[in-house]
Amino acid sequence: MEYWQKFARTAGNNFKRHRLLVLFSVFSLLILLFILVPLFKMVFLSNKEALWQAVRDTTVLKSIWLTLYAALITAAIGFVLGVPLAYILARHNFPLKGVVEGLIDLPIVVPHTAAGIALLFVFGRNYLLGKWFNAIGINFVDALAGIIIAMLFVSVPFLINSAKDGFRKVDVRLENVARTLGASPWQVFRRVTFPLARRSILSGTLMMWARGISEFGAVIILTYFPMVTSILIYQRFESYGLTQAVPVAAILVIVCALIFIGFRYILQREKKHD
Amino acid sequence: MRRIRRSIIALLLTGVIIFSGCSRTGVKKSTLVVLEADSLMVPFSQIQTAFEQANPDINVELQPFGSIQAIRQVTELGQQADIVAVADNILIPMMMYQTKMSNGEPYANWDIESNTNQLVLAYTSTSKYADEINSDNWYQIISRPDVDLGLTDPRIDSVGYRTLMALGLASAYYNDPTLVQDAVGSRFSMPITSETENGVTTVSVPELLEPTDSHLVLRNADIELLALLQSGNVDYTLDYKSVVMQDGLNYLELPAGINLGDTGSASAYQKVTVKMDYQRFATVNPVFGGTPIIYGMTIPNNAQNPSDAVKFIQFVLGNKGQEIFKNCNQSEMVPPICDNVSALPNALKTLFH
Repeated sequence: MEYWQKFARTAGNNFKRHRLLVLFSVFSLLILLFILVPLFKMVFLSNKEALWQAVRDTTVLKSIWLTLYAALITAAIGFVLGVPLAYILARHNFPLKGVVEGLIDLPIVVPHTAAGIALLFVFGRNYLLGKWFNAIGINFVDALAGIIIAMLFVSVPFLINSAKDGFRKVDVRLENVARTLGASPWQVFRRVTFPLARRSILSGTLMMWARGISEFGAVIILTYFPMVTSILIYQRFESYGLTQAVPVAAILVIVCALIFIGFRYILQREKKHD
Repeated sequence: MRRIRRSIIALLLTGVIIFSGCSRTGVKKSTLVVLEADSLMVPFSQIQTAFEQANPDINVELQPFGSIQAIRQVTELGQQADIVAVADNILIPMMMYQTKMSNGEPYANWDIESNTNQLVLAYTSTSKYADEINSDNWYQIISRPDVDLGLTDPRIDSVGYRTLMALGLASAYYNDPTLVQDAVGSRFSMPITSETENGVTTVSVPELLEPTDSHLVLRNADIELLALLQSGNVDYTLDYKSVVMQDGLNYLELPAGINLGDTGSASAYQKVTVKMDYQRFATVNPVFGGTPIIYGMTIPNNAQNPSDAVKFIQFVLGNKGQEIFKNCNQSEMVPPICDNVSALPNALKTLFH
């Protein structure tokens, strides 16, 4: 009897002490289930035979490969063009900076079909940029280049924002010390600022890549073929119904899960090494 | 700082309370969910306004989809819609009569047909050879190797398979047996073929449809092709006259024997069939015989609000509804047709005698 009273009291005390953690754990569990249950259901409840068929379907595999590498090229372009902007935004003040920062977020909120049409009306053949690129043989309709600009447009804000936060966290004094020790601005960026902000930048690049993989609305306006996976899923659903569309989605989910868990693991390990 | 935060929270709370109060004290509205074909967007949105004015207690919710998708929303995704209205009346028996709900009933067992449309060749003033195109040479111009032709995916959208029907009919009309191949067929890695036997042309669509020629632009919906037409990436595409006119584009009318818009030419249209060579086409028997373009609508058997749906259909078939359709260039069929009058709700039966 006494034991149980003691147990209840300690449990009560423990609960009081860990109330925050318990409450947060409950909420965390809810949101985790919300994310995971639909995905697991899609993977595990999809028709085994259809799933196996899709795994061996070269159209599906080619499409997943195309999606992954188009998004990867997109992330690389975003990295080259976005990191400098993020650096300037983190380190310098200029008139209308707030406006610029707000505008960068626009591609996230614009409906993606509208984004696709907006791009078409810049890179389309009747318009200036489209004409220039056309003259050097680059076409944005039904071409890899079209997939890439659509993905770039909707995903680059993730990289810019993440890199900007990363640069902001780097202590300016460290950069100044490096400068007084005779490093050129370029050396400071390469040896001090970039390495210290690296994790935010990598994580932003990863987010950008992920966002590119999932894009549908903007891509389908510019490029139906070659077919990225989101469009293939849609097309399979329309012409064959759910049983054929779900396995393709399931495979994409599995492939992406492996990739992203792998990357998170690497990022985590880097943190330990720092 | 804390005071500011508190006042913001207070403000939000008041807002929530006011809004929730509004919906409770206001008129109780019933919602009518209408899944509509993309090409019905313009007339139906005008009908929505007029219908809601006449029935202030009903809130119409229009959800545009490609016709096949609109039906799949109900039969595959389990959406409970009150009205399904599609651009091809054939799709309702094909996909809704044959698919059963969990209680064994079909998703629908009647179909009302009241309006038509026709295919035209849409183009802009910057389209290649726009200055020389006419109803005698259009099929040769769209086949020219430097012309960018837009094609709606025949596996997904009614405009797509109807375009192939029109090309199949044109092949006989202009006595050009390779017309389908020249215009679209040979531009894919697995060709779309056409064969004429006993006067009937069969156009076969392969399972894998991947263009090999950058001058053939395939899209899932005609609306996207119209955007590409305006951006100069597509020179010509076949589309519904109403949609092309609503977009203010140039268009060429096709002969009545080809444009699928003349209900009197139904027997002539039967001379073409579009066949999808699918092995895995789950719920649809993918053979489309040539028929005039006729819109179809029904109330699914699992509709939540069938009584308002009946009112909506009465409105569409009524004077005001048909006047709107006429102004949108989707001409009315007189009289409207129902394929299974005995299954209609009583309030609609009286319209079909």
